Amino acid sequence: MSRSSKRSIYRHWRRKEASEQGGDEAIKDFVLKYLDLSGQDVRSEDGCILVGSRSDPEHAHAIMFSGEVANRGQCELVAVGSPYLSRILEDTRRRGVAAAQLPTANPEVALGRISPNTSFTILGSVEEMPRRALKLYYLLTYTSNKRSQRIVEVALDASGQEIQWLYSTRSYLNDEKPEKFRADKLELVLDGSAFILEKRMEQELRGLKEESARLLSDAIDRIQGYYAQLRDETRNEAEFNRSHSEGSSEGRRGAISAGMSFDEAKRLIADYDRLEDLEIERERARYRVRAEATIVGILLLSYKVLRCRVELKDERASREIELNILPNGEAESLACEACGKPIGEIHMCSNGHIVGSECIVSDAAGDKRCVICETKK
Amino acid sequence: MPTDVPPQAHASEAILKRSDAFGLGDSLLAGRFNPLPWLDLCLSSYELTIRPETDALLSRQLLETRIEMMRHQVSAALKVRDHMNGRALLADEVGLGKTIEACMIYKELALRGLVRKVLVLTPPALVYQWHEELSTKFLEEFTVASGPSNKFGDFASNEKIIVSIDTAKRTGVKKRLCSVFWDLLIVDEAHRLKNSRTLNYRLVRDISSTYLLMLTATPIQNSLAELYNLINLVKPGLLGSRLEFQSRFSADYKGRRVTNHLALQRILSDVMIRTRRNETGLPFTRRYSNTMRLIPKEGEHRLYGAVTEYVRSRYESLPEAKRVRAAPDVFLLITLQRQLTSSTPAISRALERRRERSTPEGVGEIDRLLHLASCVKEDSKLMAMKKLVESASRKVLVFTTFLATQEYIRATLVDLGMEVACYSGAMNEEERQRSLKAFRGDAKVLVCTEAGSEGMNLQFCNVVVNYDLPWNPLRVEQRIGRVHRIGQEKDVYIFSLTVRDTIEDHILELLYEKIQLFQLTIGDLELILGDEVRRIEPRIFRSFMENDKKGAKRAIEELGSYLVGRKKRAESTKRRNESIFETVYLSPLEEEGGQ
Repeated sequence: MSRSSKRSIYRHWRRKEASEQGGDEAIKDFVLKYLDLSGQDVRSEDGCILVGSRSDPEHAHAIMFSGEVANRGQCELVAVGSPYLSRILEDTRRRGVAAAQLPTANPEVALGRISPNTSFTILGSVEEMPRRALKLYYLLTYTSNKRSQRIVEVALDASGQEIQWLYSTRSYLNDEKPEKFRADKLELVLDGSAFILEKRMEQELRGLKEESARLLSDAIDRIQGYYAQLRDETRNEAEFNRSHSEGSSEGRRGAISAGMSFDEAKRLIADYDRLEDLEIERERARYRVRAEATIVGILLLSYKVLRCRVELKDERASREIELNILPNGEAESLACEACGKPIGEIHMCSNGHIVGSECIVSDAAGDKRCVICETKK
Repeated sequence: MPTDVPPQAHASEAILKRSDAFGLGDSLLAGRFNPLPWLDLCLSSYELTIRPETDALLSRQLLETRIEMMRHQVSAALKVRDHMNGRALLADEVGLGKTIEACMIYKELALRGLVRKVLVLTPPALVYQWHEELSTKFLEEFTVASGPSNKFGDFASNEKIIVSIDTAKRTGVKKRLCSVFWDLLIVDEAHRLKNSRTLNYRLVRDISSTYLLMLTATPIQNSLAELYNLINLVKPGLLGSRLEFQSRFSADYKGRRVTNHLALQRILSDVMIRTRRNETGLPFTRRYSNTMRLIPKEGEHRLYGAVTEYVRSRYESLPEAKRVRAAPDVFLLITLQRQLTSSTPAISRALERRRERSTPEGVGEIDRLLHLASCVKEDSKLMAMKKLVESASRKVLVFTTFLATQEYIRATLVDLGMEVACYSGAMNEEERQRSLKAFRGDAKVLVCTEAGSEGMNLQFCNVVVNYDLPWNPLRVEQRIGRVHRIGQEKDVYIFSLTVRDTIEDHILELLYEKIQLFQLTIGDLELILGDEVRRIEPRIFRSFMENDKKGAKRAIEELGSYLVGRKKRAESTKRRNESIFETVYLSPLEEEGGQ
């Protein structure tokens, strides 16, 4: 390649790099949200963002998210690794504990969804049962010779049992002044979350372990092969020296004896053994798979479960059941009388069996039948 | 992140470690809640730093504003990160910025959370240069471990350390360094490890680290065996046994020529990067040096003679032991002598300070010198510089070592109606940035001291004036390196001012011109000087203090001849490397097909 074409490639690269300096939108959004939440005064001036009091402009701090602008305007560039962003990250990460209250479900609306095909009547009054749960946010880090990270959410009740329905809940309010959370319960919840995390990580970790084990095995083969070869060469040299020394004239013997003796060879081989062990241990340490879960956020949730007696009724049958209605409008612990699985949508057959959608099957004629009594629904 | 992995730990053993770095559990128990948007922001803060595998460097945007990132450096950093598992021999040719390359790799690994404990091993002369580069360009504060070993504190508790290789190999220090499993070990000027029987080599071999970067422009000093030794530290066993390596790749018994180029290239490309200047497409401009040897005015001549005699008498009064080991007292006298050749205000201020601490008997002598200084009416260097700056059509960067001289130059040029900016270690960051902005803007001249000038990128300027001259050649090169560096697109003009028959003048004539110092890059100088660099200043001073004028000149000439010999050897080493690697392509740019 000619010098001039290389130079033009270099210039092209510089231009390309410069055009990519538009700044990181995610960082910009994050920093502006931070400044807003922390009540700081922010205004735009000469392409920079001035942070600080309007009444004391001398002490305003100029920042920017694009390197090009930062250079031009003498602003501080805010980017991954910059001190300004690092300070904000540190401050934000200390504030990861919040409390919220989930709105209580409307029992009529909820029952309408739980039992869309059968009419229902709520018998008596609806009892409100207050409950508390935690959403724990973990930063999960896998480290071997590489590293990967992600945020994992675990939702549990106060006894450490996972609550599946809480994962899809985002409609919380924040008007609650919660009571303190008890220390003994926290331990229980943390232990429960660790158990859930370990189960979730199992497969991922297996893949990582396999890759690491393969790399480690290659490294150990290389090291063992290398030191085996060194030991062989050392033994051969010592052997060569001995055999030539024995069958040679005195003058030649003198010259050969300057080579390696058996004692020296032994010492050298012992040294190789030591170095081999050391190198292998180092490789093991390099490829050791580690997983770390750091709590980075906690959300304490308060909500009410509604307990009510409900009469389900159609033209052929009626049943009274007791239902706990969760804030998301689902029924808690209502099991299918056929398979025992939780029911999302109630189906009642003409014999009054209450089953889930999966246990109402279609026959050859296309009629839906209850799997318990085989009567038409 | 748990980094101190015990050596007995088993590979592929998963350990789920649960932690709560910010004490969130305590906040929950204490009922300290933040509004919900803070929790959302907190979670998104992690999304910013958890990046999937990406082609770009995480630190690219930040570093772009602090350093001139070159394509070959970025490619090298990505290759080391993605394909070399963080262990590499960085062997770019001289002047292509290996230090920056290594720092970029470090920053990348650190931002990805892979590196926390870092050890940098450098030659003694480069310890503070590394410290400065990491601090000003990469915003990374390292601890320099120097002085008696008991002052270092605990290596295990210091996470980022720079230590000279000479200090590191002391028994007590080595033991402590080897007791830590470092995340990253950086070894600068790694050709010093060429011999596997030396303490240097064993030191690096015995230090455990996950990642390892070794830097040298000349991995081969004499024979291929040296390359073998270096690679064996990066990836033990990769090249097989020494005998096997020699029989496979060495074309002659001395190991000075290579055979099986392609096979060697294939193996080395896993662990070694070597980019040549002509592969980068970078513009490399020339340097033109111009020395202005000025005839002293009467007053200057008298002042120089009297102060030199004063310095000599103080030197002779020092005990022999102090003189030989260049104790701090000797360095104080060296500074006084250098202030004398810098400017009259510089020596006057130094003498006034000395007078304040002096005994009543000493005051008289100092007063006499101060009187001589006050009699200097014409300043030959200042006059020459005024003419130079006035006639220059471009921006001019003037260097001096001393603040008093800096102020003297500034005031003189301002009196001439020029816009002048100043830059020194005495200024805070904001003042420095303001000065640089002024120099980029309307100011024609920037008067700069060496202290604090490390992080400056001044490629837009191409005229450098050495108003006074450091006695350490590395310092001279560091000055020129502010403007003559990668990214400079014009030829650079260097003017050095000296007054005839002063020490500075002899150093310039008999030493710097002899080794053509102004044409050498910092990498070249390191190759030539090696550890000699620490001894040069006291050696020059001693030559002048212990000899008459002729004897002193002879001693400097001898030093010059000695360095010329070293320069020839360094050039021959460079040529040997160029020849051996002529057909072994190890540049990441070549792999990209020049894209």
